[in-house]
Amino acid sequence: MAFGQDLVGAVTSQLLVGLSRAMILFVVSAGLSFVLGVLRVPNIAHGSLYMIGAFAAFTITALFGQALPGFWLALILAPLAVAVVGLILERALLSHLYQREHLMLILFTFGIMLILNDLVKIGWGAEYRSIVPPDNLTGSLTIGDLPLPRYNLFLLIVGPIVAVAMWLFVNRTRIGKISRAAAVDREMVGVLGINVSWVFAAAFVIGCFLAGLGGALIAPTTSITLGMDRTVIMDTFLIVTIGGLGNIWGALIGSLIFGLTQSLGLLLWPQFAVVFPYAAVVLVLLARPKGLLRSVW
Amino acid sequence: MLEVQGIHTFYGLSHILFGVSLQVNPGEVVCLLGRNGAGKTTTMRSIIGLTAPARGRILFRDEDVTGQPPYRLARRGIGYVPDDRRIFADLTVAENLEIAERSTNKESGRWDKERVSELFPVLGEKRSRKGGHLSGGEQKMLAIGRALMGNPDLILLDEPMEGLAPLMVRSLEEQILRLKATGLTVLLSEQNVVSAMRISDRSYIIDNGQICYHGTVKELQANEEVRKKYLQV
Ligand SMILES: Nc1ncnc2c1ncn2[C@@H]1O[C@H](COP(=O)(O)OP(=O)(O)O)[C@@H](O)[C@H]1O
Ligand SMILES: [Mg+2]
Repeated sequence: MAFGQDLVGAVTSQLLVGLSRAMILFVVSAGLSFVLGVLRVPNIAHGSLYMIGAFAAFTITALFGQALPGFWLALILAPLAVAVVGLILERALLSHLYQREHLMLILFTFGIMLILNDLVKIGWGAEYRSIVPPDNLTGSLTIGDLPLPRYNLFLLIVGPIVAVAMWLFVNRTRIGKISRAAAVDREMVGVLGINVSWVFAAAFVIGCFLAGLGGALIAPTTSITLGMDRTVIMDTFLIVTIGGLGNIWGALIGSLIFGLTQSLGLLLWPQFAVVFPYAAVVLVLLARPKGLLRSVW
Repeated sequence: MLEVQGIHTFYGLSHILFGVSLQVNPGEVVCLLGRNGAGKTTTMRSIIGLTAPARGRILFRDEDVTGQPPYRLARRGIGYVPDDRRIFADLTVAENLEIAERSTNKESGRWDKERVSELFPVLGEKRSRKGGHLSGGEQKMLAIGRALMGNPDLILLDEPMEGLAPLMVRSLEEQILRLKATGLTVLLSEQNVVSAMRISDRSYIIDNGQICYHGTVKELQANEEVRKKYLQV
């Protein structure tokens, strides 16, 4: 009996961990996928923008206090700061390169990643940083006998909000509709009198905002450090690939697969937990090489 | 309204247009006739800026617009309906029209979704259908409606009759004439010579990237030799 309860408890808390991890992965991969879909740019620097989001959250909470209003400000200002970085990158560099082939774009954004990493090292140094969320998001909420970490529950709310916001943006706003059109036929969008260049800038900025938001969201749960961009860029690229390139819902499903296989794998076979998501990716791609949902490519 | 002066256009290294010149006056319907591969589409693409000519000039309302990007030309008042329609397949009919909507300071005759549906009722009926799910003929209408949403003064129609059933051809002719009656200027490329001659005021014939004949439709109708030589009719 007690054993059964322990198991239920362990599974539930791992589920919650997996789901909340999936939500952060979703926020980041939605941005990556959106940029990939609309601009056709595989942005290797996306992970670095996420890292900048986390460091920016650290600095903002350091300035305004860990509790109120620091954390909430960080949640808004850090993604905005990353969005500004994105706007500069897009206008100054990327906007001149859209005609290039994908390999060039990969190499180029890889270069941007290296530069951003060095800038982070110069700006924030190589030490580990951390922040704590405000009091009402720390500790656990006990439901039944189960302690559920409040911050994880908070992430479960944020993820769907971002998903719905993205859906509304893409389907209900003019610029969202234009970006869907530009994803498929940018030349024809230009013929309609729309300066596609600014549509791309907007799409890239939104992608960067999401990267920054993901970084700010993960900041209280991990140590903020150089190198945190590496795993996230790999994971989110795999997520976007199994979900279907450019498909926001695919990014959601891919993130859930990733987050849940990892956390439940921890229960099944702790030493190999990290392998589970990658095994899932391989299985998905064997079954559906173009991803689960429709790719816009 | 539109003056094309001796343009030479290339696709990469292949030289396609050799000094094409033509002129379209306000309120006219002018057709550009020629067989497959003659250079009609390339001429249209050169005018709207999709493949800028390497030499020659394009004047729109007496201003040199050569080499301007398509979005600038569209904003100046040129609408373009490509031969392959290029509907945004994932967007609904209504969305296809909405994204093309552009404000204008023209007093009368502003195009909106309702007015487009009056011209092409089927687009109103299928407004929430995905563009990719329309028939070829419906996509043509949508492509024309989409171009109209930008409130152009000049519309370039690239082979609008191609692939349409005879009855549809007739009704599209009528709709083009209705557009002309609103004051819209039309440059039309066609292989369907009979249909084009019914609605046009003047015609140009293009062959191997060169304009080899121009005159009024009446003159062309009288000139059997030219029709036989270039148009096989
Ligand atoms: N993208 C392209 N690249 C190279 N050659 C092309 C391209 N498009 C068309 N052409 C060539 O240009 C010539 C004119 O084509 P086009 O303007 O499409 O003729 P039309 O519209 O009168 O049928 C043809 O010989 C065609 O093969
Ligand atoms: Mg053609």
